[in-house]
Order: sequence, then structure tokens, then C-alpha cells
Amino acid sequence: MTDPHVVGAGMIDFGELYEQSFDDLLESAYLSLIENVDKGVDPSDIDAAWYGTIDIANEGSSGSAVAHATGLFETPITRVENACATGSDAFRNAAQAVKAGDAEVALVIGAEKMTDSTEGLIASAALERLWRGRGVTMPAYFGMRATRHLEEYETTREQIAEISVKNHENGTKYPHAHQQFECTVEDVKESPTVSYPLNLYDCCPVTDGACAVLVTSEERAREFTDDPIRVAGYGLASDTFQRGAPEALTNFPATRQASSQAYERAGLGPDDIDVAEVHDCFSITELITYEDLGFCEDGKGGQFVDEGRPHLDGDKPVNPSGGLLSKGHPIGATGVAQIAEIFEQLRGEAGDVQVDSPEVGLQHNIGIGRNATGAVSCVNILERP
Amino acid sequence: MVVIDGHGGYVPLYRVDRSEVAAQHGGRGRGESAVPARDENHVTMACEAADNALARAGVAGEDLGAVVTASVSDPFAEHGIAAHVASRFGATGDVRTTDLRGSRRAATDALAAAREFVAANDAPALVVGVDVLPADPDSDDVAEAGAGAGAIVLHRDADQPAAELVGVAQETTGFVEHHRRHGEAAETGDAKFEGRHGVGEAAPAATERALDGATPTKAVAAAPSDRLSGAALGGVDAEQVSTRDQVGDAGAAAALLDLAHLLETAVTGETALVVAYGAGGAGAVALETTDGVGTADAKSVATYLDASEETTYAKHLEYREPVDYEGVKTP
Amino acid sequence: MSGPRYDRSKRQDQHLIGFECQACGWVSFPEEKRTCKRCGDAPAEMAEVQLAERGEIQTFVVQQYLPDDIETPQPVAIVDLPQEGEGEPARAYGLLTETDLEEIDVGTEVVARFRELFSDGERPINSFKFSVPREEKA
Repeated sequence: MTDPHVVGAGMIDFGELYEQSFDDLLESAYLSLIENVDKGVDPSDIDAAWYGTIDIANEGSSGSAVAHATGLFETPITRVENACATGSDAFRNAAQAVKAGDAEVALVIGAEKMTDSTEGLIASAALERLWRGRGVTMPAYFGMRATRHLEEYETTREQIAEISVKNHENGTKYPHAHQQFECTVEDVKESPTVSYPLNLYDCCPVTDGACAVLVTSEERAREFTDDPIRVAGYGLASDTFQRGAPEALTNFPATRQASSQAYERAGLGPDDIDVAEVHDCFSITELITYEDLGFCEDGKGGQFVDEGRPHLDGDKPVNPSGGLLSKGHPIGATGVAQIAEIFEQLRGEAGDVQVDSPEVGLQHNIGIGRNATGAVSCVNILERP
Repeated sequence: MVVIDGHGGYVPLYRVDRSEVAAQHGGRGRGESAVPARDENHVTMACEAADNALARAGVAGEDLGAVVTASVSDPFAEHGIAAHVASRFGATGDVRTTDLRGSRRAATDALAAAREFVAANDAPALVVGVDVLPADPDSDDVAEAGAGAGAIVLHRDADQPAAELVGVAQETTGFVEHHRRHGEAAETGDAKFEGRHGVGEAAPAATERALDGATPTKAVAAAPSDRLSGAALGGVDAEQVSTRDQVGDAGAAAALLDLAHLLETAVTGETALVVAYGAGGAGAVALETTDGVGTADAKSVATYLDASEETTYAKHLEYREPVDYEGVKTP
Repeated sequence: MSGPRYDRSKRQDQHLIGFECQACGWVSFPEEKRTCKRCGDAPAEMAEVQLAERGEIQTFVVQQYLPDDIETPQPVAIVDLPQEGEGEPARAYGLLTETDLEEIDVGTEVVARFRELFSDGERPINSFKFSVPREEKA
């Protein structure tokens, strides 16, 4: 057994990349990685790859899409799909294989071409299914938590909106973010209603993107960089509100389960986390994730925001990259990009969004599956060795 | 003896103001017409009324021996309503289902058929009338197109029946003036001609036979127009119970919806008359109300009439069977 | 296939029947399960239970953007439907019909309504939605 380490990351600018095909995205992310590994990487060093996409554009259903984009035809490439946790679960799979000694140098790559299928997620609401998923969209599923959180706790609409304000501000300082503009709490509250109680500025945009990272064994890490970042822990779990847990109406028990697995593996707890990239597909999602990850008590997510703790200069900075709200959410790429951002933060290379000397970083996704009745969460923890 | 053990109605929530519809064509109108929601159809509306009638009767769906439905607007040539209603309430297996259609007489024909089934089989029968009349913007009766459902549970005997069926009769003349093809507006012809030779020759004869000398205090009448339904009760000196002002033309459902409303508002010991006039003749049913009559509760027709929301002329046209308007399906 | 594929779940799509895990009391609705989603019992002993027509909104949203064949605004809620007898309620999500944002809140009582969910080709497929009781509007 060895400890997996992240030794390099390649990110492309997220956005409405109409000029790039799905294959172009994969190729760009891969080349960015190759160019960014400190001591360089020879493609022949890569002995396995994990590839994350939900294939919303219907262009890359098998690992061979990555082989075509990279030339790694002789290398085992596994496609991972796990809702919005697709990218982070691809990373988790690579880390596991490296930990087990089965792969020594593993490529993780995620991509999504959302603009080719904007109706894809909305259309899922048109499913001709009884009870399951019919008439329900993503903002509805997350918005239901907001309604209940506002009702059950002292959470205010302004606190939820402030998360979007914070993340958009961070996004203007992060070059890869899709939406480069700031907004106010009033802007959020006055933007058009998408799914009451959530408005347009509570929702992440439709964004194309791709990202790649390289994970190696501890023994091989220093062939690629003098500053590798250790993968300390990971966790993955599912849940559905149908199970009847009261906290499933306000929060995501899957995140609690996945993070407790990751904390336990890492021998760390929420107090040890210095920076986090979490799943803010909607503003409310980030608020309840503070609680699910143990950054604050249940029902205190709003207060956590009011106290400025998740802000760039707070004691628990969350989504310095601008999060999904500003950076965008190309599903298969999202989790991989979050890993890349934590990697940069822990190496002190995060530029204008660098937080003060972090030692431990956490990456989190929460996804909806089973036609809006279930959820899957993946949590990865990285640490300076 | 066959009794009415339960009765229930259903009216969609949405109503269009007939004067607003008439104003589109420079005419005048009064009252409202019921407009089904986009997610309502003949089966769902029939089930709402049937649910209320079965609950009143305290009859479990699986105990039903027959389900008879009446409709002049079922959009399907083959598909039916009765078996769908039966299945919704668990009346499957050895259950007779009958879909009656083609004339507003289907309402009284359904009562007659169910009565014979109950008398012969000693199992309760459910009768449901349901209709959503099409609205053609080019037709005079566009504002009157209504929607609703009415249901009656017949039983050989019951602890507290609402009424006893004392007479059932019909008068078949073969006279057809008012008629309609699927997807088209009704052809109504000369009202005076139909009044004299249609309803005038059919309704009194059927009524006289059903009443067999009794004098009704309350009556319901269903016919293709307000004028013809008035004519169907010509010579009968009884209070007419009608939901037409709020519901509009509810087709074959009208007689059963109005009968449910009558039974919720009548007192014990009244004689009541149901007349349905349509293509081919008229049917009539005479009732004597008994102890279980006059039960108005949260699910009564009065509640459905009181609970309403205004909707638009556009939705009035949209949520019905589409009709061709100058060769183009409307809406 | 000779009929709508929804036939395979027609009983619970047309009747408010739940399936109660005899190991932990969890109620599955509308799916008829042989494993328990809460305690994981497998194979689980599931007892058929009758659910009430009236339940309570646990949380909700009102959607403004949906495919064309669904009218907006479209409220959706998570509803707890109690059993007719003793035991836990079933928790299901349901579309609301003839109901506006102003009429609902967490805790609002809603009643199951038999409505057309969509069309299978030309055939209407009916099952349950929820609404505030009609008498509340009278």
C-alpha cells in the first residue's frame, strides 16, 4: 500500500466554448496537464486512466473517447459516471487503484459539453414516468431543501443570496471561471424566479469545460514534482429523502456519510480543513453543505455566512475559485477541476484567490440521481505531505 | 326494490365567464361554464364523482358488480371509460362494464341498465356520467360548453338509502335533429321544429310512464340546450334543480350531476323526476326520497359549485376536444 | 408490448397502497420493494398497508421553467401520507394541481387527486397528484 499523490493538474478556461467540440475539450485538458507537470510527464508513463463524464452531449460514452483525445490506446481507460459526483468519483477510483499498487501513474480526466445539450437536464422533467422525476428539475430538487431550511431554522433569504455574492466575487479573481461579474444580495433576490424560492442568480450557469490531473504513488511522485500533494482520504455514499430521515428534508445525509468516511480515512476532522471546494450548484447547496461537512452546527449555515467565515479572508474559506455558481458546472469536469484547485491552493499557486498557507483541503460534490429522488455524494481530502 | 345508496358529483375548479366569451363575438351571455384543468380527462373526472358516491354509500369498489358510464364526448372510439373507473376502485374480475354513448339519453339508459343489473344480481352497481363538451369558436354554443361528472350507486337495499327508484321509462321516437361528429361543432337545426317534434313528443310520454300518476316536487332535466331542457319538463309542476348556470352544458353527465345535487338538497318523502332528452328520444326515472337524502358535506356538489377560479377564453378552448375551425384544429 | 408499460405498477399507481418493512417499519410508496431502503433488510418482509388520502406537505418548490408539455407555475412537494392504521407515514414527492404558491406552506394539508400525468402516445396515463382540498376554496 502506498499513499496516492497528486503531482500535476491541467485546467482550461470554463465557459460557453462553442468553438470547441467534446473531443477538443478532452484534448485541451490533457495537453494542459502535460504542459503543467513541473518536471514533465511522458505519456508512456501513464499506466491507467479514469475518465468522468455523464456524456450529456452524447459524444463520449466509452473510455475510447479519451484514447482518441490523448493517444493512450494501449492504456486501460475506465469511464466513470456518478451524477454530479462523476469527476470526483473518477478521481477517487484512480486514487484507490494507486493506493492498491495496481497503477503507479494514473490520469484522471473529466469533460462535459453542456452547451450542446442545454435542454438535456430540463428535458429530464418531461420523463414519462409515474411519480419519479416527472415534472421535477434540478433547481426544484435543491430548492425543496431551501424551503424547509428557511422554515425550520433562522436561515434568511439574504444569507442564501450572500453565498452567490461571495462566489461571484471570488470568480472575478479566478481566471478559469466562466462568469466574470459581481452581484449584490439585491441582484440575487430580484433576478427572475427559476423555482421558488430559488432565483436565476442562485443557480450555476450552463458551462462547457474539462480538466485533468495526474495521480501517482508516493514512490513515483517526485519524478514529476518536488511539491506533490497527498490524497489523505475519500468517501462516497448515496441517500434518498424517501428513507424518511428528518435531516434529508433540509440537508444531504449522503454528504455526511461520504465526509465521515473521508475524515476517518484521513484521521482528520472538519476543524482541520483549511480550504474547501464544495458543490454549490445552487446557493442553498453550499449553505447546507457547511452543516453536512461539520463546518458548523445544523441550522447554523446562515450564521456561518453572516460571520464571513467562508469568505476568502475568513477562517474557513469555501469555493475560492468562485465555485460552480461562477466558474460553471460542466458535470464530468467539475469534481476534477475542484481537485485541481485544491492542489493549487495547497501548493500556494492560487494567485488572487490564494488563501493563507493551507495545509489541508477538501473537495465535495453532491449529485441527484434516480430521477430526483436520490442523491450521491463524493468527498476527497488532500493534504500537504 | 332498487335504491340509490350513494350519489356524488364533480365539477372542475376553473370557470369561464360566458359574457366574456360572448363578447368576443359581439354577443351577450350570462352564467359560467366549467373548464377542466389540463391534467383532467373523462376518466379522472368520472373517478372524482364516483369516489364521492362510493364514499357516501359506504360501498367498497371491490364489491361492485357493474360499472355503467354515460358520455357523449369521450374522445376515444375504442378505449372506454367504465373499465378504467372500475379498475381505479378495485372492481376487477367478474364485473360488468358498459359504456353508453351517442345520445344524452345515455344518462337515463345507464340508470335503467344498472337498475336491471342490481335487481337481477343483488350486487351494487355504479353509474357515472362524464362529459367535456367541445367548444368551437365559430359556433353559437361556444360559451355554453361545460364539463362535469355525476355518479350514483344503486343497491337492492341499504341501511340509509337516499331514494328508491320507483319508475323507469323511455320514449323512443327516432327523431334526431341536434347531432355532432367528433372534432366538429354540433348541428342544432331549427329549435322550434325540435321543440315540437323532438322533445315535445318524447319527454312527456317517458315522464308520464315513469311517474305513473305521482306528482314530483323536484326535477332534473338534461337536453342539448337550456331551452330544450326546459321543454323536457314542460307540463311538470316541480322545482327544477340545475347546475347549468355554473357548469354549462355537461352533456350526458348533466342529468346525473344535477340528480346528485338534488339528492343533497331534497328532504325525505319527496317525489323526484329525472328526464334526459337526446338523439332518438327521451328517458325518465322517478324516485321517492328516503331517510338518507339531504346529506350535504365537504364533498357535495354545492362545494364544487362554490369553489371556483376564473379562467380565460383561451383555456376554455384549449382544454377540450379540438374542433376544426376553418380547416385548422382549434386551438 | 400490448398495453402501456405503466401496467406493471398499476395497482399502486391507482390505489394508495404502501409496502411496510416488517423489520424497521419503513413504508415504501409507490414502489413495491423486496429490499428495505432504510434498514437494508434483504429479502425484506413487506406488508401491504393502506395509505390515507390526506397528507402533509414537508417541503415544496414552485417551478417556472419546464418542458412545454407541463404547465407552469408547477408546484412540487414532498408529502407525508399517513397509514390508515398504525405505523409510519410514506414519504413521496408529488406534483401539485389546482394549487398556487399562496395556498401552501410547510405543514399544509393536501389531498391525493387522480389526474392525468402524461400521455402514452394518445392514451392518457392517470395517477396521483396532490392539491389543497377543494372545500378550502369554496
